[in-house]
Amino acid sequence: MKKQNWTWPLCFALLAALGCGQSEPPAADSPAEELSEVDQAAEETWAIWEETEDPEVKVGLAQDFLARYPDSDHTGDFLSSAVYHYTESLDRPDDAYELVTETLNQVEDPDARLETQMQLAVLHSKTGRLEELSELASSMAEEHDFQFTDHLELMELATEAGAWNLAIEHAETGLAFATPEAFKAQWPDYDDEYAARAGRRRTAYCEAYQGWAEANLGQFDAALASFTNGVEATSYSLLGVDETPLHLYWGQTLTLMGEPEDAMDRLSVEALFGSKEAKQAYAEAWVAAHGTKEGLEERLWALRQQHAKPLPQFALPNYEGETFESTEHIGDVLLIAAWNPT
Amino acid sequence: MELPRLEPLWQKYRDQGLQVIAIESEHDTERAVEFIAESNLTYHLLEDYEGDDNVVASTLEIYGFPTSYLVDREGRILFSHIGFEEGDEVQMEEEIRKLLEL
Repeated sequence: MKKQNWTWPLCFALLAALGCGQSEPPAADSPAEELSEVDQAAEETWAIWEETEDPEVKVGLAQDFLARYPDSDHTGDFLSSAVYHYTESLDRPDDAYELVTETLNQVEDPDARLETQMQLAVLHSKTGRLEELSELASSMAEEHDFQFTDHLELMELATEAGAWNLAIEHAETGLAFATPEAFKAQWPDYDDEYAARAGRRRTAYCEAYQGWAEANLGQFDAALASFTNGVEATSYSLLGVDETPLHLYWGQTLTLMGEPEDAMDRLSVEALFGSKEAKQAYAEAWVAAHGTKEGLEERLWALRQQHAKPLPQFALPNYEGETFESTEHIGDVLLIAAWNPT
Repeated sequence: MELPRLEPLWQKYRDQGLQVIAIESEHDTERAVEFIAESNLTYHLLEDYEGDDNVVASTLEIYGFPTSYLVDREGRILFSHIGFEEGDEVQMEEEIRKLLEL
């Protein structure tokens, strides 16, 4: 995978679903001289892409690349990047539709077809075309041998669109892949322990989406049962945040049920260290309980003190070869930023 | 890009006890050094390796970039930011001021 955008929530879901930051097992690095023409062109295009902040330029780059090479390993990456900017930055979904449809007509490689169809599903989801989304999902499932990540992507798109029955359908089908064996079948290079954890987390994803869909259909007992089934399987970040949306949806469900105090208990760590959605959900529960936002920030500050985790110790070199030791800076306020230059 | 936005924060609050630490996670030293020089960054700039281990992923459990943690004087992670959008530095400054008790 090349360009993924952190402002794109789906990306989080896919990364976390896999169990870590690798969206795919690392491909073997091939030396520059062995790059094919299309890989070379893709590399050059991404280099220009990174130089610009202008979404108009970015979609133009993707358009040009796809016009020259519609059917390659890079199709999905360019298409998803273009769709993202057409819809999120430029508010021109019709242009995105045109690009995706044109590309789909020219793509024969099964993986590239699946990625292209998935972008069509993204567009149906964003524009609220629920029937088209369901029909497309069915025809994709017939054409391709779905992996867990395909089901997960459709769960997410269905959820964003409010296509609750479609979300439940893929949550139920996805559950069949929520085992270490299924994980290893897709990613054989990972060890057993990793596969076991990833398999459990897949369960949590499916139960989270299923529960939230059930809650939105008014089936609260079923929703709570789904969350309870999933919670044992989920896993947590260094800061204690659920790596799946299970706690977020559970909390939002409790608010819908008129239990805002329980919702806040469920959401507190998520609201402090997790997504903006979780903070928003906590604020909604607070307002449901208190009738006002007053006191919310003070409460969050108090919770922050209570739930904060210690910084793990580390020592790393700077570019002059001197070592920075985190333990030498107790008493300072530290802003630690992880980055990469690409 | 997040890193150049951190430079003014570091300049403004360094005397009050703020340390800014950027860890480059991909071992892409050439591009990192180039970027650091172009952007005139002067805070702690570290490379991520520790033997075969990798501190950002295995110790700090950071998998998406940019991600940052704000640590208080007692060594606790009080805030985290995943991703960085224009304007986030304003919120970051508020949080820094809170931790510096300004």
